[in-house]
Amino acid sequence: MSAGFYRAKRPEGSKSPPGPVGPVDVVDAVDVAGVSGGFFERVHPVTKLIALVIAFVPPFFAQRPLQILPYFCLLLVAALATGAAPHLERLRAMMAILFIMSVLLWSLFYQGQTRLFGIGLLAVTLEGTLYGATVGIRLVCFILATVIFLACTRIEDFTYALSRLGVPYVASFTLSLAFRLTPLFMETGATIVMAQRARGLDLDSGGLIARLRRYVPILIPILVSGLRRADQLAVALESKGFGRRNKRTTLSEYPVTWRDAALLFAVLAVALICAISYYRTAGPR
Amino acid sequence: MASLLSYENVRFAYRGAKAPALDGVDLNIEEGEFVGIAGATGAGKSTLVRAASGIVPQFFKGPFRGEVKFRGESLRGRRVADLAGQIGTVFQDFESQLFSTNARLECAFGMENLGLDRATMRRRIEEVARMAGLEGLMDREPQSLSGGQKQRLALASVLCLKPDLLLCDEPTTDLDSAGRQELFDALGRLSRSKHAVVLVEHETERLARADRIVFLNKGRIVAQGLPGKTLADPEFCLQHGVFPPQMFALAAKLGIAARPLSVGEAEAALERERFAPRAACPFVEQPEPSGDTLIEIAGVDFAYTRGAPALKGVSLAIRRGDFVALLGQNGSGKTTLVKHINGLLAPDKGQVLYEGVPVQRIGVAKMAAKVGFVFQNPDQMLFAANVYDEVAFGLRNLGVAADRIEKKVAEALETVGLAGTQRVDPFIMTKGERQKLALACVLACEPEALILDEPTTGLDALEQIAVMDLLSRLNRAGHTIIIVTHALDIAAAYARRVVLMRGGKIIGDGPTRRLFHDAALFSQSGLAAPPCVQLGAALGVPALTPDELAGALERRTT
Repeated sequence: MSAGFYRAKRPEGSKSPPGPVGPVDVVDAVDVAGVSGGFFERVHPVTKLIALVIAFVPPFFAQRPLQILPYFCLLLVAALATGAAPHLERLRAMMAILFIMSVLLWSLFYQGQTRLFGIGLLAVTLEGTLYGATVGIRLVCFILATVIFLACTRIEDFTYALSRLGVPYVASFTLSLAFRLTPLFMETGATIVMAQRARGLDLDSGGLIARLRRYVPILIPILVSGLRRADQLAVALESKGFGRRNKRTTLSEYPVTWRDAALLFAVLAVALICAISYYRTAGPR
Repeated sequence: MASLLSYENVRFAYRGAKAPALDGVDLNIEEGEFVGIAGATGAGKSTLVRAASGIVPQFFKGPFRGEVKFRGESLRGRRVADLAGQIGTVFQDFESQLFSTNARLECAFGMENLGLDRATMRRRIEEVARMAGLEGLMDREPQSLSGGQKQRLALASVLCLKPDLLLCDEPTTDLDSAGRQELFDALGRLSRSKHAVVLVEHETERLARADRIVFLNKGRIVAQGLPGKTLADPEFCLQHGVFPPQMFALAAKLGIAARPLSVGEAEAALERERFAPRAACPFVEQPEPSGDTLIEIAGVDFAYTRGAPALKGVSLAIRRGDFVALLGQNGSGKTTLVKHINGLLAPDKGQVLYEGVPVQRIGVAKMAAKVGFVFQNPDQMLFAANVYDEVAFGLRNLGVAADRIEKKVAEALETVGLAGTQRVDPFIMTKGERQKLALACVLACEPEALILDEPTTGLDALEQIAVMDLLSRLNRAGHTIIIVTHALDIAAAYARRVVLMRGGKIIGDGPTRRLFHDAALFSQSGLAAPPCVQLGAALGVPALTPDELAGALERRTT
């Protein structure tokens, strides 16, 4: 995952116009969370977090692919509507692998009645394959929901939501730092790999153990530069007042509006419909 | 004016260090004062700044004696975070100072921690964005900004806290010349009545505008006073880690008492002292290397991500035995280009040939024996537990016989001036030593050509001279040298040939003297020529260094 998830949704041209700064301009530059964004951006971050948790529930009801497919499609539409598509594109391969692995593994280990093919005890059954597909779609649904959440929630808003829910600010901020540091670490890692390859390090040949040993010249500089960076970060944070005991304020305002009620209502309704339709299609036991 | 910050006999040693970092410092900084701090590597400059905000000894621990007082009150026991509204610091590494989604929230971060109300925050952000020259960028993601913009954002986020004392610990080391200029412009716009500034800086051209300069050596203050006095003696400057301002060096060389702060002032001083160019131009051009073409880059296009080309149709031929400096702003494609030479990057279009053979066919691992590549930050390649293993690493990768490794390691260490350090742990060496060690690692493989990315960054003046003299020696011994650098004065003094890049293209290529004195072309690259080149151009003397310029001038007798 990358910090790109948290790109501000505000278009380039929407900044306050030049000229004398009157009260109007100041109001224009107000940082209400996602003030110029779409529906989801304007929802209170706590509401969004709760909605995300609720959105995780429906996939658990389903036992067959057809039961979960409508929900999956709904999430896809939501992803397109919220502009999460570019992020999904980057995760395309990961989602495909998850799905395929799930189908393969469950086909092998889930024993059903309808034998498709197999040798001896190792049999692939229709039920197993279908169950694997269900679990696969379920996992993909979790990713979809999370990506939608991240695409329309800035990291600062996420941190704010966590602290409103009782997570200490220092802890929630540290979590958000992971998003910030990951791309930096990747970049440093790429440079280090290049530096060692330029010294003749060959990462691609030899057996497994030999290959692992060759990663030592890469891992040590990564570790050292990581520790160094963490040190610098800690100093920079504290010299900007991070960790003071006074009450923290936020520049962004988080008003609760009809949108919060609408979103909660929508996700609850969808969850309920999913639950009901499951019991109807599954039939009473 | 009243004393804002005072050091009273401050002594401090980092835990585990043998020598003290501060060894009895007494210093007073007044309200609104602009103090420059200079000194060689290990002189205690950063430690001095860290002690002013409590970072030493709270984060970096060790025995601390004496007192640092802010507005007459001891900092002992005050937490760094609690001082945030009064003392602010801008650090060297801008990446680890920025942690927000957009520039506005970055500025807000510190104020949120102080618990300020929204109206105040908004007002200050507007005000500071203007001062830092960030108007119109406040909604941008910090990651999408240039290095210079990032560092100005780091400055802005600190200024929003309205500190009485602003500490800047080498804030421009990682910036190109344009980024440096922008940052100093922003610092220049700071209201002197509101902030006192303490700036650690190695570029004395900038320090020359300070109210006072303090020279440190081995943790002690060795000189302080007006820039015109403290920087007057070029020899003293060099011994204490900084190059003298070029105009000062010129004046000293010509025996002029005045110390001109700008090119214009220098011109006036020369006029007053009746100096004029000699009749015959004394510069002897270095002969072009006579070797055949070693590296040929032909029509190379390259993009890291589709649609954002980093190199566009670059062609360049480098002869055996040449000494080439690649110059250009951050992001102009210099480093991307040199990474093609040893095959670390493969061109999307066009090709790169080494002795006529495509580099991609030779492969990166085999290229290591032909083209040595020293990365900018030695910490990104050093990993071994001792110097011997570090240097031997490349040789073992190339399959050199064990009995020959020992000799080659010793030779390489000897060349860079680290003879006999085989058993030392690289991580306890100074930055300058690690830089030399990185060079030794590459030299041990006896490559024909050497590529160095920013070989002088983070080194003090004497270390820079040592590294560059070493490169000159290697060049005379037949090695082809290619450096990528922001240090234009270094390039002017050492390179035979300069390649100017901008926006992924080569916009100029030729002998160093011709390129530096082609003002139109040079300004196109977005770089500002060193002062002595500017002055030389004004006088009609194509000099590259203060020494050359001094040698080309004589006192009129009539």
